Amino acid sequence: MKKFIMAVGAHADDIELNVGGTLLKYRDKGYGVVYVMATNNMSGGWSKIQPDGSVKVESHGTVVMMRQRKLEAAKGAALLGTVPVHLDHPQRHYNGDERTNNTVCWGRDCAELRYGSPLPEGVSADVPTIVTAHEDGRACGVLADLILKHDPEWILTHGLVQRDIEHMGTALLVLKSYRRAVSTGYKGGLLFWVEGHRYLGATNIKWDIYVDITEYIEKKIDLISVHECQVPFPRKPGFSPRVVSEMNGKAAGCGAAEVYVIVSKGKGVIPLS
Amino acid sequence: MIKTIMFIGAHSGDIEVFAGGTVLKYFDEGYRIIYVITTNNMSGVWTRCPLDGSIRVAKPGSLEMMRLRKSEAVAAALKVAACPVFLDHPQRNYNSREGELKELRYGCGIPEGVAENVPSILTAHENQESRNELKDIILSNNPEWIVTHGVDNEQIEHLATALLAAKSYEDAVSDGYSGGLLLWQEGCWNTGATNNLWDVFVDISGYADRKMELVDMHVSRKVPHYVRERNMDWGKKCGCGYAEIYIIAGHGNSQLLK
Repeated sequence: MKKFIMAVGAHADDIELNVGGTLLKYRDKGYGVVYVMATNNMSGGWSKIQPDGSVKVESHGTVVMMRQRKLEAAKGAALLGTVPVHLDHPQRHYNGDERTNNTVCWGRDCAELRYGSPLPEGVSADVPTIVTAHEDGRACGVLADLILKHDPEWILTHGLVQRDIEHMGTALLVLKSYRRAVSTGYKGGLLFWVEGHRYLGATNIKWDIYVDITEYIEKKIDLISVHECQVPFPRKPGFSPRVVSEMNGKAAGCGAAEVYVIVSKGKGVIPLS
Repeated sequence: MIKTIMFIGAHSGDIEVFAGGTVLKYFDEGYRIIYVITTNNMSGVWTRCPLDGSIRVAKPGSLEMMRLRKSEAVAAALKVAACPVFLDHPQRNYNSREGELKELRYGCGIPEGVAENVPSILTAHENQESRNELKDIILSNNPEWIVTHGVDNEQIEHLATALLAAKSYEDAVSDGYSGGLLLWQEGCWNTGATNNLWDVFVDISGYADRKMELVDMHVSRKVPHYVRERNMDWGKKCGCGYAEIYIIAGHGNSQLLK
């Protein structure tokens, strides 16, 4: 029977940036990858490399951003031998216009989710956003069903030590869906990947296990590079995901590593390594 | 100079439940207590326990809940000679006058008592004006420690309050503030053992009963039965009767709480 590993990321590129090495390694071991995107990816800037080598960050509307970022997610997933599952929970903000802009994000005017905010193009009123999806029984049910359908040995997702509330929202959605799946017989484990945000204290970035990705670090960078609109220069010296993987590797005693907190070991599941 | 500690909670009652013993202990030691509540407290149910032992739950609308919960916060803060500062960021949901739960979504209306275009608690940490407001409170009071929610919990408004406090703290530090930042642990074991570690504890052995009295002042909120047990459990692990536990997010130049 084919074994599976599931990764749930908030945005297109989160999976590759944080656990790309682990997924490549386990794909080579014969595992199937279940690639889940929690948000609708309607937000963010679009970085375009100019003829002189500089980068211009463009603002596009929700529908254009969703299409591009989902296209890139599909390319990333294809390199992992799978196709993305999009849960499509709206993000907390997007590139708006004069009528909708009410805040500043990434140094640009943006439209933010507030009481009284209009519906963005491409978003339905009956879908909870990613910051409240974890409290929505239907949303948790959809993800729990996906877990039960694929029965992955491990589920990997964002940890709670973050700067980004959508990563936190995704972690909570996965945590609650996981518990729902466990209550109906699921036996796999749940890991939070550690993103290394030190501003909440050193204790909050401790980890339990690591996956040695020394032989996969270059392939991980290739995987990340499909997200052109978010990561224009993945081969640039000092590229943060490479540096972080190498620092984790140093701490773990190998060349490069991805590190995790064990939320639940599951029952009878072999630890990742 | 009077020493100060600032406590920042998401909701009325959070400070008392998670750090009430520390509040009382340091108040008794002569510290000035600053009490900040980040949300507008418009959500939740009103739980009453009449003398017959039954539990009755009502769902007042947003305005009535705000009035109730804020008056409870004021009464509790007065016990430590403080007056709560309300940042009034709208919560993520509320009960309509008809008792229907309404959630913050694109295309939703504005609840009664909420001004147009105010960032909710979920995004306040990304709003520079909101961060500046909290930063100014930090700088004008210059507390030795700021104490707030940690990230070992499943309540997104607690998590968002931690982000708002930590980012405002960073802003204050870059403007010269030299106090420390502590995150209280809430004891949510569902997030894994490593997410439940702590750096320092405050021995609240002599304060457990008074803490519960402070917590009980929030009569609209059913007191979680585990509050005392959890403090006792941590106390056992820390070698004392009762304890509240914290992660150090920023040390500053402050002497550790104990």
